[in-house]
Amino acid sequence: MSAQEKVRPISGWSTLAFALDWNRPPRQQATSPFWFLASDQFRFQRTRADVYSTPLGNGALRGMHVADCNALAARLGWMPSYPTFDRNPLDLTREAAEAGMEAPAYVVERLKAQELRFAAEDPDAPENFPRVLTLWRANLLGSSSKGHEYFLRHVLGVEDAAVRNVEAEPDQRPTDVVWHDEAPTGKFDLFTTIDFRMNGSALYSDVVLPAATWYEKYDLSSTDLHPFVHSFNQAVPPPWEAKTDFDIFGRVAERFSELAVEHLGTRTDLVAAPLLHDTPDELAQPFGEVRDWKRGECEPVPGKTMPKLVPVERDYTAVYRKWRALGPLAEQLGSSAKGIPLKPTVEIDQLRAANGEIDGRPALTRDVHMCEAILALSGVTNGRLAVEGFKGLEQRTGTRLADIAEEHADVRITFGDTQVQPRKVLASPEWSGMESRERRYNPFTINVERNVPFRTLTGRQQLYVEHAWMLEYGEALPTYRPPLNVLGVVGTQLSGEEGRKELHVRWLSPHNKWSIHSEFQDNLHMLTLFRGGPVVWLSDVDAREIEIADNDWCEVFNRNGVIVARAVVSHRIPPGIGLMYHSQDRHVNVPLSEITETRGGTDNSVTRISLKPTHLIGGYAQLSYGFNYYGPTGTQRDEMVAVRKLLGKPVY
Amino acid sequence: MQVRAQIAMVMNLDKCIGCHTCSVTCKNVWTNRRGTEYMWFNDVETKPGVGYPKQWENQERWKGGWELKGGKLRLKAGGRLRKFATLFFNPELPTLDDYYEPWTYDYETLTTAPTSKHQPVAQPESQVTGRPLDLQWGPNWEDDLAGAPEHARLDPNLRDGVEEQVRLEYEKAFMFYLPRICEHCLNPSCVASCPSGAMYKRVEDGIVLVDQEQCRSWRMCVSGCPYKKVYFNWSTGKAEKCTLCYPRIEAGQPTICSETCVGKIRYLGVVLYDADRVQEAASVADEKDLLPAQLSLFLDPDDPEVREQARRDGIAEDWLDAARRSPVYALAVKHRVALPLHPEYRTLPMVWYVPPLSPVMSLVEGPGSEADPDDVFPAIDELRIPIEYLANMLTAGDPEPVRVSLRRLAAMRGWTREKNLGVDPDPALAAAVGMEPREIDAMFRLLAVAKYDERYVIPQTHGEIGLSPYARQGACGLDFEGGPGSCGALEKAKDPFGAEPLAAPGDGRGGGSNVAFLDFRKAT
Amino acid sequence: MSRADTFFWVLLPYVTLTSFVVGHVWRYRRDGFTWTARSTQLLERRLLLVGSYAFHLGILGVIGGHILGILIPNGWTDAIGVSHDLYHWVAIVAGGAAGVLLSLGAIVLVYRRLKIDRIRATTLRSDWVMYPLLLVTILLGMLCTFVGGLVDEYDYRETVSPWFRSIFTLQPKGNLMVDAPFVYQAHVTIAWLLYAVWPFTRLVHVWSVPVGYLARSPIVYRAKRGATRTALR
Repeated sequence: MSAQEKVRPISGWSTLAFALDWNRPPRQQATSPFWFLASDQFRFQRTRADVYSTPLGNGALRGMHVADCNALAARLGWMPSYPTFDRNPLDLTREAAEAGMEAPAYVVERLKAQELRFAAEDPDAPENFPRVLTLWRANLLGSSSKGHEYFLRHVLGVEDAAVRNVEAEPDQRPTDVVWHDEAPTGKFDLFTTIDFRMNGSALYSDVVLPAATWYEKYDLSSTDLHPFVHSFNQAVPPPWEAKTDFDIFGRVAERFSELAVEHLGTRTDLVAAPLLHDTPDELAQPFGEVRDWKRGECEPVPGKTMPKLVPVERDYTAVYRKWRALGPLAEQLGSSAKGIPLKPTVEIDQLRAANGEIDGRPALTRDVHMCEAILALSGVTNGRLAVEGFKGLEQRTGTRLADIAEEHADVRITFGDTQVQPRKVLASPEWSGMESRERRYNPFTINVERNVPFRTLTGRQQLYVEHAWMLEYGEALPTYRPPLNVLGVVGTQLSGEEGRKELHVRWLSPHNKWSIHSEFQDNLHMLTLFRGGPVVWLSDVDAREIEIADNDWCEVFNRNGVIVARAVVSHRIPPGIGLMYHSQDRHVNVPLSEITETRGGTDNSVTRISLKPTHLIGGYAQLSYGFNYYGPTGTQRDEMVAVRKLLGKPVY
Repeated sequence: MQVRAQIAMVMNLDKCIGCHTCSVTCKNVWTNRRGTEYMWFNDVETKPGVGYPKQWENQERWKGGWELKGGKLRLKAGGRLRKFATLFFNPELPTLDDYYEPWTYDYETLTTAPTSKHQPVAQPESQVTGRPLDLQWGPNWEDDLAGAPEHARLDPNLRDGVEEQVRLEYEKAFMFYLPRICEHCLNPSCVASCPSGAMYKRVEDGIVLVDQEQCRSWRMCVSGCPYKKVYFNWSTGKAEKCTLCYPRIEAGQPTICSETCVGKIRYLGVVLYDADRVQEAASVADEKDLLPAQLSLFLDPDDPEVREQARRDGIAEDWLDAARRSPVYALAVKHRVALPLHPEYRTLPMVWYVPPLSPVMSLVEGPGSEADPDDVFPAIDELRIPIEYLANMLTAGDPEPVRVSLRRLAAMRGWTREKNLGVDPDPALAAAVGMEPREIDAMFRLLAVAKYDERYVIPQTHGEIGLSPYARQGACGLDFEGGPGSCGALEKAKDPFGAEPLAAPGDGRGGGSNVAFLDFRKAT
Repeated sequence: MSRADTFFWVLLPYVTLTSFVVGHVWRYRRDGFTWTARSTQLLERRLLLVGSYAFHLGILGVIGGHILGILIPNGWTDAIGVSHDLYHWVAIVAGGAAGVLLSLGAIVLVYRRLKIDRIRATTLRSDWVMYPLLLVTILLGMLCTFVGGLVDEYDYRETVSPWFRSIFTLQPKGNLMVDAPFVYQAHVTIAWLLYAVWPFTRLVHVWSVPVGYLARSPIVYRAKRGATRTALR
């Protein structure tokens, strides 16, 4: 399923994407903390979590490193964490069984005895390395990896990664997270990219699986930019060895299942699931108080003061079988968007008829079957489900609501319908708009006009968040925060070389006008329609000062890495700004750096992940974890770089 | 009076977002071949800037278009004898570097590079020579004021005092996008420059084309065009240009650039004009009179006498209907918000532009910042884009028609805002710009909400005129060398020395058409 | 005449002329798209300015000289009082000058085509056939002028010219060429070969001198009504 910023048929999609039709709960992880640890960027965080605390604060973050905050968030069940424990959960459940205990109780006991730890507390121990990365529908290395050079060095072990940073001093290091003297490099074992472009990620992968493009496969797409669901269709078959994503995963599943017979069989997994938004979990840690069971401030109780521990039986030999059929949990448990249950009933039989059957279940043997299922299981494309959902919401709120969806109660958008033309989505409790024949989507209209409570602690639009960490930061009410004082912390980023004209600029990386992140950045037409390679925009005032003319090659560098690009000099850039439209990748027209003698990097080569502790808060009201909801971002745009002209000719 | 029809275009610069979709779609259809890589029949330039090719607007340098010598029109680059003298070397011809050397990349190395110390990278190489290329210029090098402090000063529109007003500084930065195609002029200097007669203007719709069979590579058309919209195919040795997508126009469909325009800035429609008075209009002494002279050529399709004469001159009824619904006629003649691009070239261009509004400088700071933001009229001369700049581009330097246009656009905004707020707008606002209330409403509809079939009013070409439909039976779009089925085979089966007995009239050279198997009649 | 003589002085002219005539008819009717001077000025201008003017002005002079010397019979020039010596020195000086100009131009143009990458990229296969023939023809022609004109004076107007004209009156006098000096024999032979390939090369642009332009109205219109040809790109 392709989606830009909004997966409209969210219920059907998440049912299939997270295999909720066969197993629950899924194992999820937020990317920023994941990479913060996996690429060892946490070791270079030289400010403490309390650096931005207000002098009027409560000291909740005193002495903590951001990595400590992250470890706390993991063990308190605020955020999912993967890897979770410092042992394979498959082994944990086996041990529990041998000890004659239930797995959750067994784990709690081990944790209390400190014989078992959360992996987030020792990310540099080899047993806690993530090992296998399969990259799909993203360009991690060429585009989104904040602190790109750290990724190269610590995740992949690339020798000429351009990190020149200094690790945290002993008094700046975490207290709850183990500090190894040597930072490990090349932690991952296998990096696979599925893509149709030989981009930055593909170049550094161990395995590249060539993928079909948009016109070579069947799929669905939706976006926040318009209210339609539309199809991709296979105008031509994927050429040569390229395969559709569906085909690729299916083949891997098939082979995996064959190998699982000998290597895995049926095992019991243990998923540490975070306290969830839109569930009673939001009340698990009330009053915004932070109680850390590890410090004895409370008892470790799964689902209350720590993550829920859910055993999940997995028959690994059946993965392929399950891949090809819609599992029974689809109708037994239904899906829940915003905590409102949607129970497909007649839809299961409809899918049996539409897709055919496998093992008595609706088949998902072809990509179009998946599309059909997604549409059938979502209220935005299935009026019956939408009405059902609103009726459920009526019960909870005591307010009439089903009339919102009644005009399209019998509308059922099928994949064939989307192939005729894009189809406008229906009003559904999955979202907060009340679109209709007369009205376009607008968020929160259902809350404002029909008095459905906002999904906050107060049920209203809430400005005041009374969590200990928010109060510590002085952000219990929204407030302005100035840019980070980067240079004050890390010092000058200028090279100090004799006779070189250099300048600090604030680093900005807005969206390019002709690309979707790194997509199309290597397209010949788009490259021809500007400068034909990565560029950095500078103010003419600054350019004059460092003697850079328009189209000169220049280096942009700091402790995190180095970029080699050509300068675009314009008076429309204010002085003090270095602007590189983001995700130009590094595989087209990028020479070597004179500073590091390595290949110039991406716009993220000079950034690094900087987690904000308050983004880690969970288990509390509307700050509880939800997929693609509230959580830490890279916060990597608050950065300073140095710029200077390349001395010699570009060397490739 | 001899009435002719032309499909003309208007582009609304107030709405162009510079996305370049038009450029890319045109290129994918028309100029995606060897020899045409550097050609952009449709290009979009950021102004202020030198454009593509560099400084194309500087006719002192390039000598494109016409000039008046002794009251008579003459090609600025010289007449017939001069063309002979320069047949072997055309001094006014731009070089490839004035456009740019087209490039591609060694993409293949990304998948074939051997194990190496550094990550492989695709380097640029010339599409002409295949050698590595150091990129120094491109078709849109100045996008969004890139390099403006160095290059934009050479914008030929920055003259006659405008250069003082335009300060290339952050606080005073302005820009707009100028998408350009061939103007399909009424008095095309490219056609007049062509020694072989391969270039021609179509009578039925005014489209200017290059006959690819007849072009002999004299390349006088390239320098002759002041808009530099005839290009030279370096591989075939022939001139090529924007065709106004005539296969689509003939089918009643808009050009590809129009069809794909994201911002919905383009309009296509019929304009009836008096072909007898074209030379006279182009020859008026004062440059500033060229706009009114060209407007006087445009005939009122609602005038029954015009329609009578048009019928006598062979224009079909549906074309006359289309002319009455023409959005181009409405914007250029009725509402007077569209203006021609560089009328001083005297070619009588037929792609006109609605100038862009811009923020009122004095409202931000300085005197006038206490003024009523709704009362835009006094501030029209203080818009961020200097009126004189727009005048140098659109009216041979006369600011008044630009002022009229911008005031009408501003009035339209105020008028519509009132309506949206539920207030009855004051008719005095319309009267202040010389318009009736329903005219303002009509103009708003056209500029803001008109759908596809109101923006593109293109009557279909009458294929039955001049060609026998019977002889066309069996013709298909698959008629090319080695094409499928009977099409390609028939092409090869032609008689090398004479007209096929079954062919359409005068099709002696087998001009790309198909033949009916069973029609033994001579074509009428 | 020997078999070889018959071949070179009788057969070859007719074979090559047939190719010349038929080839041109075919090319004009069927392949108008490639009928072009293939200007390369867009790609490189400085060498072209020198080379093209030198070559073309030179060749105009050379063609004029050939018309004078080959097509116009001895008798006619005698009749209007042009003495043999006068003719001879005009031929050497004017002809030689034109030939030198032509040669210099040809050298510049060929150098340009071989050395400048952009120009090389526009070279056709037919050019690889045509240019050697053209250059050798020019070289041999220069040798005719300077060897046969200065060094070892030879009155070709007694032999080569009448023989050439006789081809077209269908009473070929091949014997006239049998004893001509080798440079002349070689020059005409290579020239025949050049004529044979001419219609299939860029040289067809020679026939497209746009004389019509002098009398044409500036703007050209085409109408579908009563169309004489379909409008193309």
